[in-house]
Amino acid sequence: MRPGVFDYLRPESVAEAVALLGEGDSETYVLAGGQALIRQMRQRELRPRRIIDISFIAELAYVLRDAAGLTVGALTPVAVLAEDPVVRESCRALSEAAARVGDVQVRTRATAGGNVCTGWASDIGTVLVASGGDVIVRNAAGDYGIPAADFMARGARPCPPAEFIVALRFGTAPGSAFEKLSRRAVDPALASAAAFIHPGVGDAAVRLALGAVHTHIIRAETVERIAADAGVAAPAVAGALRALAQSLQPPSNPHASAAYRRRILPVVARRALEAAARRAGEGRRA
Amino acid sequence: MSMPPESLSTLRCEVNGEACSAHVPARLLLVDFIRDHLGLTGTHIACDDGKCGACTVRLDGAPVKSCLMLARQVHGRAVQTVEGLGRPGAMSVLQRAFSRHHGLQCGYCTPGMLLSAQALLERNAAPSGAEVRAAIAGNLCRCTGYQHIVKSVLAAATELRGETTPSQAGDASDSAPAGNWVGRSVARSQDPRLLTGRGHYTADQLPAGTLHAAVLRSPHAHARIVRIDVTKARAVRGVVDVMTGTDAAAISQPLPPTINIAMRLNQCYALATDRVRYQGEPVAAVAAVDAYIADDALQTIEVEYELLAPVTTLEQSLAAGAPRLYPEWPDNRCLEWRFTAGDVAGAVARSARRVRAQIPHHRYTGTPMEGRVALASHDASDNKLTVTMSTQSPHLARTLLAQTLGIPEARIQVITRDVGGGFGIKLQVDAEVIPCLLAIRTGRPVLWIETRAEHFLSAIHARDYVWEIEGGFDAQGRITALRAALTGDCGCDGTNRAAGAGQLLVGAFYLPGNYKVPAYEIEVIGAVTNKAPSGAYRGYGKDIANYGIERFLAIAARELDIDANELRRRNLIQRDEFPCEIITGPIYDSGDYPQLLAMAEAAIDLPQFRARQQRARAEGRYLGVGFAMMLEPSGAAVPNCIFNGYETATVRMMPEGDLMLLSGMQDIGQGVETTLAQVVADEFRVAPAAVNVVLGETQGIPYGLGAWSSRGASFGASAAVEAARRLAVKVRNIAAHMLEVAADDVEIAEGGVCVKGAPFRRLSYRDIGRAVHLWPGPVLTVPKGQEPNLEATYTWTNPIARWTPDAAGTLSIYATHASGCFAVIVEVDVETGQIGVERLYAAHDCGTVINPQIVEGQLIGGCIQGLGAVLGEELVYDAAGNLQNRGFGDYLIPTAPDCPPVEIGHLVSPSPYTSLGSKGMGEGGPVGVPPAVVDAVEDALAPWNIRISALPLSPERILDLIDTSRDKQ
Repeated sequence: MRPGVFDYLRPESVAEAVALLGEGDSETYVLAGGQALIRQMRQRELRPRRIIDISFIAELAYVLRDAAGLTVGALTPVAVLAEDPVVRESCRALSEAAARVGDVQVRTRATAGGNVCTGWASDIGTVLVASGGDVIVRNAAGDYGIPAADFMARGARPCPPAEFIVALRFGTAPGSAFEKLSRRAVDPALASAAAFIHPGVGDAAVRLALGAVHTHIIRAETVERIAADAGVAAPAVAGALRALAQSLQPPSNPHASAAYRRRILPVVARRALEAAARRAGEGRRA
Repeated sequence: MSMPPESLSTLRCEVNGEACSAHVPARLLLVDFIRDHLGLTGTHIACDDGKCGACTVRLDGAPVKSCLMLARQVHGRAVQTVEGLGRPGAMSVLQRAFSRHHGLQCGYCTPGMLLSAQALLERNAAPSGAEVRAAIAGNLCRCTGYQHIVKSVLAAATELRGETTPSQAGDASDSAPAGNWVGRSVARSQDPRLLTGRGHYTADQLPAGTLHAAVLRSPHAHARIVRIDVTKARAVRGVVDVMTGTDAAAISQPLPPTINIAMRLNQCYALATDRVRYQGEPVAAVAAVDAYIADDALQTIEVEYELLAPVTTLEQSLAAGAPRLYPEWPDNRCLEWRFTAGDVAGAVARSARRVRAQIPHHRYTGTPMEGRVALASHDASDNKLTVTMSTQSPHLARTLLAQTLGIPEARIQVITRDVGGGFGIKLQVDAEVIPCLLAIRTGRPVLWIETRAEHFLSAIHARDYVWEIEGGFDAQGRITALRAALTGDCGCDGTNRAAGAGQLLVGAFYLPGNYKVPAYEIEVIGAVTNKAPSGAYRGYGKDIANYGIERFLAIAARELDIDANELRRRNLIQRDEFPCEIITGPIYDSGDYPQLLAMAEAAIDLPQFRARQQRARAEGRYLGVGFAMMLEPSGAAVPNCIFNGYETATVRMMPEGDLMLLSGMQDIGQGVETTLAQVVADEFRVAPAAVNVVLGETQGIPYGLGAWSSRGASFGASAAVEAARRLAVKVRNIAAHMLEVAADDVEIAEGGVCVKGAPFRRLSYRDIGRAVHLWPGPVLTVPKGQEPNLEATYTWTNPIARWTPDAAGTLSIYATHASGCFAVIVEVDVETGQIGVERLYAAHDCGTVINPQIVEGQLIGGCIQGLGAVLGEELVYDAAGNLQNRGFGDYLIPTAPDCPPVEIGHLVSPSPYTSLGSKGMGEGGPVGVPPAVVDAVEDALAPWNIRISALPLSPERILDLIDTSRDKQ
């Protein structure tokens, strides 16, 4: 099927986009890479009246490393995140997650900001939540940050009509890792986990987020505390993961049932935690 | 409803290095801009949701899917399509490598594949095989199993790096000696056009004024149509016609049956009239000036349904008092058939051991990359209908269209150019009737291209059956008797929209497989349900038989505590027993089954594998090996069926001395265009390039039945060879007459005819062609008593077909029986249930091999289809009859990174029943691989003593089996 009729506007700058969106309503949609949006428009699941195509705004594609962490422009292609040496160096989990988004063609077009709008199984969203990061959103009043965990809990259309994402701000850690189980390499996650580990102890010592195992991406805070205290390999971590799994309500689809997602969650999470801990340890020795 | 015309905006971009400017509407997709506005039809459409990669183009060098971009998004940027890579005669290194290494079959995915691969090679000059597979993970191929694609890309990389590559295959160089083309990997004649975006698929060349059809389909599995209101659709600007089932029935007949052997026939139309029986059944259709407007109009049609109770399982269908799909039937059975030979009850009673097993199999389908497409135009002045369509059999399509439309066959022309894969799916006429009716109603050409969702909903489904098998064994493990029941789910229709009911009979006839079965009893029941029609998919019941007997023997081996291969060996038909008539009537032509099994065991090196398996288990890794024999009956001649078994070929010598072969076979990617040229070339000692093979149109080609039942190597090749031999006799007679010697004194030499022992006294074919056709003409050149022409026609049929059943009901239908033995090594992740396939080996025997590379391509591609079927592909209906898989995103065909390398061992047992000793072999992979994989997974999970019944082997199912076993222990 083909999309229905819509008006098409193409701002060349962020300022112009903000101005256009200021007139926005719920039938106005922002088009970035379009790998999810155009698919939905073709199925006529979405029938936007107006499309604001921000994909020509060059200033929103960048990767910036600073003391606070890693900032990624909203229109940075996922393919760039998968291959960028700065990303790989500073946030291995993001590198790994980006490389697992769809296939080569999808990664060419898909953007960092667009991926976190895809919801409950977003690979980059899972990393962003685990990193303790923020989604930076712009509206007519300026930029503001939304904690990633809050943003990912918002549901199908996380950005209000008059706003759009300009950047993702990732926290970093000496050890981070992303694990994803899918039917085929190109498929969405059956369960995914991102772990960030700082050697030593303390509140931020271990962070763990889980994708595709609940209605939205979640932080596993109880598991984090146990892992920080007892180590990622402790039996109590496995127990806490199993208990957590039972409390979640993942959707079922032809790829896997809710029951299966709950069952493999502890395995995928353990693998992410172990990889992140290993890297954190290597970093310390280095 | 009247919509304002869409506003257009200027788009400027660069396409294949040239500046391009156009006015386009906002919603125009890039893929439609490329195909329809620029006429670059090498960019293909195979799905609707960005999952297949057939529409891949490069945007500023990077591969993108042009179906998930608006045309306006390439403003100011550079687009490269396949047409920009190279052209025939000046192909790129990559394109040439694909041709040389058989990196394509139907060619439909090829342009996108080439662009993804080209992008890889430009950023990584020395990729590994795994990197190539990752780079093409977003490009689905249904034919090749990816192996030869990877090989092609690696070969191109080597050549681009300046390291010379000796050509390993595709030895069709001009320097090759004449004769003996059979047996050589001749490069395929269609490849240059398919590799350069110049293929002629049905949707590629549209006449002026073509309307686009869209079909509204029932959202319900079982309902009565109360009311349809198309008023709003008719008012949409750009809509030319809207047709309901009632409108269609006024000018057409019900779809005719394709098969009727002990079957109950239903009555159905291409568009439902008063009742829908599966989710996706067509209820109305629109013809509009473009596809976008047709979709707009479809949204406005209002249909009121009264829901009926859906029947979605065999149990429901066969239960007493079940709701009936066809109220005029007494129950839901569309097929009932019984067969008994020998003293089954006595043999079972006397057996030392008895084994029983229930063996179910899930529902899946072939899903070629190009879906169903038809372009129809009708001339009311003389009632002539021309239909260009993607079909495996133009002549059968014509027959079925004629009966449905009430137009005599002589007034219908079916044209079939390149076909983007078939696998059995494109053998019948169902929704293809709709564009024909719209063309008749509007007087304009009408194109219908199904969406991938329509394909999954309504193109045929296959498999979905359950075996109950009881076998007796003597003390040595020899089978004394088999008693079986086979029950199959035929969906809403297994006889008219498609011929699926017949595959249950094939399954029943061939359950004995490669083994000696002295007594056999079988009962077959086919049942209708509220699901998509059941039809042929690569196997057509051979798969049912093979899965049944191989699983049964694997289960029996465990119960009898015998190694499964040892049990197989004790029962295999031996080499000296051919030709071998089995208990149900088929005559097996030739083979060496014990040798195939020995080859597979040797390739795996079992002792070494068992040691490795033990070591791996100690590390918590679970490896397993599985085996299965394979029997592939091919070249069917089916009684009471449109697939009734003959094939005609005409060979004609032209004035230039070139040859034309006209054949009713159809190239659907399997390469008959090339293999038929090879077999004719040998008879005249010319190069295959001198044989122009004409396929795919019903006006000039003698009546033939097309591509199904792997009949190219039996029917197609034999008819071509016999026609060529008859023409060769004529040509020799004419040459002798012209040379004034006796006919016995001349012989076919390279490129012409010469006097025996005097090679310089010769006439080239050009001399003969010119002399007979032109100067001086036939009166002086053709000897008296011979027809004054240079052509011969031969109709070949299966010489061992026997359609008259004996008292027991035996029949012989298939001409040849290829055979094989498959071995698979898997690793199961017991924490997640995921299965990785490490190796897949096929020992294979299809008699004389016409083109080794094509045979390997067929076998590898088939093996990967079999693997996909058993590991991931499944058509799932919920209890209400809603199909859960609507696209390639959730119908999981294998991608390149999922596939193991397939290794092949050849054995050659020529068939005595075909002209060259060749046997059909297109279906062996999906027939033999599934039981071998199941066997391997059971072996890997031997510590849990698991028996697999349900398929496919999803990770979830594997974990469930392990958990259940743990609970028991």
